[in-house]
Amino acid sequence: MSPQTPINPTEVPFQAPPPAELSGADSDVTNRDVEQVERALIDASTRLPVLFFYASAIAWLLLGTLLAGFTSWKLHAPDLLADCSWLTWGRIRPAHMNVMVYGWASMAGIGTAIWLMARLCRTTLRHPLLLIAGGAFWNLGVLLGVGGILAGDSTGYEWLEFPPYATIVLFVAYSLVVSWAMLMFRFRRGDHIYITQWYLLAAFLWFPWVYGATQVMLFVVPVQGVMQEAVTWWFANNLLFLWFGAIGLGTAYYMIPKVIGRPVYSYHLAAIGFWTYALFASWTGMQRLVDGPFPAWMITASIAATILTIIPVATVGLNHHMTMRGYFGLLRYSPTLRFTVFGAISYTVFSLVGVFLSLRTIAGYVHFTEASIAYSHIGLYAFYTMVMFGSMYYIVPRLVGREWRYASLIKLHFWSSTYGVGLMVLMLFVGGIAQGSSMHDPSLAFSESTESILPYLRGRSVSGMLLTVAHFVFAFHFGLMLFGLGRTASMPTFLNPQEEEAVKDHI
Amino acid sequence: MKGLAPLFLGIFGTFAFSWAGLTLIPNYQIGHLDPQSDEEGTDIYPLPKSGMADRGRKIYAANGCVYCHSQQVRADYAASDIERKWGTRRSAPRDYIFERPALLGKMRLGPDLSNIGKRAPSEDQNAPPASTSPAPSASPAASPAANAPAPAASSSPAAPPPATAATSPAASPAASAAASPAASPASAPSSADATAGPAGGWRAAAPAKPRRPRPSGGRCRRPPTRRRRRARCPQIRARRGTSTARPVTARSSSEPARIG
Repeated sequence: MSPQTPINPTEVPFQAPPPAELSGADSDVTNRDVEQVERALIDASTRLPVLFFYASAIAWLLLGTLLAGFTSWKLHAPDLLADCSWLTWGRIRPAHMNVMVYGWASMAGIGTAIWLMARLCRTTLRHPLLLIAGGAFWNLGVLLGVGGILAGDSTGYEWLEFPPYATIVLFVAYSLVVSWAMLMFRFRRGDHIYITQWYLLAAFLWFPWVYGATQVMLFVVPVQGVMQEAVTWWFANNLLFLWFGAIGLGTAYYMIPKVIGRPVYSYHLAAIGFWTYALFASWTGMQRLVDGPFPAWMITASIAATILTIIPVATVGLNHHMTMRGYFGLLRYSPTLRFTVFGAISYTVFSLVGVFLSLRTIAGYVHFTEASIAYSHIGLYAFYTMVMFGSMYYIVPRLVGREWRYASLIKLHFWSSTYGVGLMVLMLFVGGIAQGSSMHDPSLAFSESTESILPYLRGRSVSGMLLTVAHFVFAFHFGLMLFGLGRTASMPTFLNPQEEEAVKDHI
Repeated sequence: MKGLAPLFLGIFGTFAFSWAGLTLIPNYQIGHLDPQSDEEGTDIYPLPKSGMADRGRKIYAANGCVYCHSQQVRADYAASDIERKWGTRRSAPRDYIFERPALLGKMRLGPDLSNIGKRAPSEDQNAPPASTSPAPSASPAASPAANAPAPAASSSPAAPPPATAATSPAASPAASAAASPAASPASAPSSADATAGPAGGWRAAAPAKPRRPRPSGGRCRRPPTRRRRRARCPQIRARRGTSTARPVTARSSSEPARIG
């Protein structure tokens, strides 16, 4: 073994970074060779299912990107493909959203969660077939659902457009995955439950609840009238926060300490962040229905909860920041760290933007505008997807036994993703405010508001091109890894290898 | 984290709190509303939509009209919806008790469509006077709703024939706006609508055109007129009506609104 340096993410200790005050108690695991073998065994056992989930996720990502491109383009070039009912804007928009949510984001999240769970529970994966079957069913469900939407079978509930036959398949798939995760947790070794495991366990338990309860309330025992919309938004927000948000935060809690080789700054902060997150984030959602036909208390409660999410955001952000302090220089080298830290920062931005948009004064202007799309993209892309990219850059080399081939491609991926999502959010946010201001002024014709956003929509299409480049580059790179064309090297691929010595001196 | 039990209890507890607070309690409060009526038991509001309006709603949902059009009127202190004549009062939960799905919408790339049947000028007010069936030969762009079974629409096996939706007498926006599934979304200033009513779209038409007096204070109390409505979504107008349409000849005025 080479001497441990903070730069090399493969050589930090396997065990979950213990809290500072408990580090003495955890000293029983000291044999690094045993750990190395153990880790290798665990990674080998997770290889097939995780790669299966990742490959599926990336395939959905590409499809979703293309759909997104059409969705965006047709907004300012409405004649594009207008003669095909399957490619109507009103169908490819939900198709894009559902492919991204259920195809890309969920499958990537499950893949990462499997790997993290196996490592943190320190058990080899026991029933990989269960997981692969789950993944296959999941793919089938998304395929059926997207086909249903494109064929005109959408249910009309946002984020829940999948027709019932696809939903059932998805639920079977999910049961397989979650039963496996519980088995894994049941057979874990060691008493310590790391922060990441809190988030993952919570996500695995919250998802079936929110999904199942919503399906029941919308389709089995349907609620009346506007309550359908309330349930839909309750679902959408909780899916965003308690499923994707929890997986993303859990992953960040693992990756950041792991890559820089330091324990998390404070367990107490982490606990506060977790519980306040569970409490407050789950109560948000109704602020998206502001001024709608609902009792005012519902909306006000959600606005209050949104404001209160500043507490978990501040604690989580502070925790990450203090963990990273002194190690920010590593962002120049580690792809994982760069993506993950970008995601973690975006999480803060996401929540602050959410607070901003939820205030009634602001909402009067930005409600019913593209600003809400900007908000969703900060959450699902700038935060969650970037964290997932980071985790893939960390996990995939450990599964295939090769390192990423081209640092230049990783850099291209990072920068086009960053600029792409940054430009998109900027365009939609500013455009949304312009649109909302025109809409708010009754002396202007309504068509003014749509025309005022047109240039911003064109800008959004440009940002979409950047994201398309990023995703195709990443898929190509992942394909190289999958087919064993990665580098065979003992050192991971750094973004700026030539400066490696310099940073060692610096630290 | 000390022990598993607090972790699991906490995970369940926080979420049960949210579930109860944001869905179960509101459902108890506003989830079981009945139509209201005056003392004699007449003037019931809201009435269930007719079967055709329901089919129009399905088309509206299937083709994602909801991603551009809302169906709710916000209060006058919060927004300019009422000043835009989208309604005479803010929407209330009771307005939607028969709607499934309730398509409140979250985006306005197109104008709000609540009460659209009531406030949009009926087709006969603008159409060439002699045409009971809006003839495609006269102005293809002007009457796409009547030409609704465009090739795109009829190629979709799942969608019911849109012509039926276009003939709906009820004030459902679904009926008129969903007629052309292949329409692209908003923001194209339509240059092809010279014959399609006042230029400039929805809003410009409103102040210029004197309206008939309407009974106030109610969302779609009853359809004010039983004439067929024209789809006026700019995207629908922009489409050329390459019509394989069966001509719609019969007014559906004879269909009574059904209750219960």
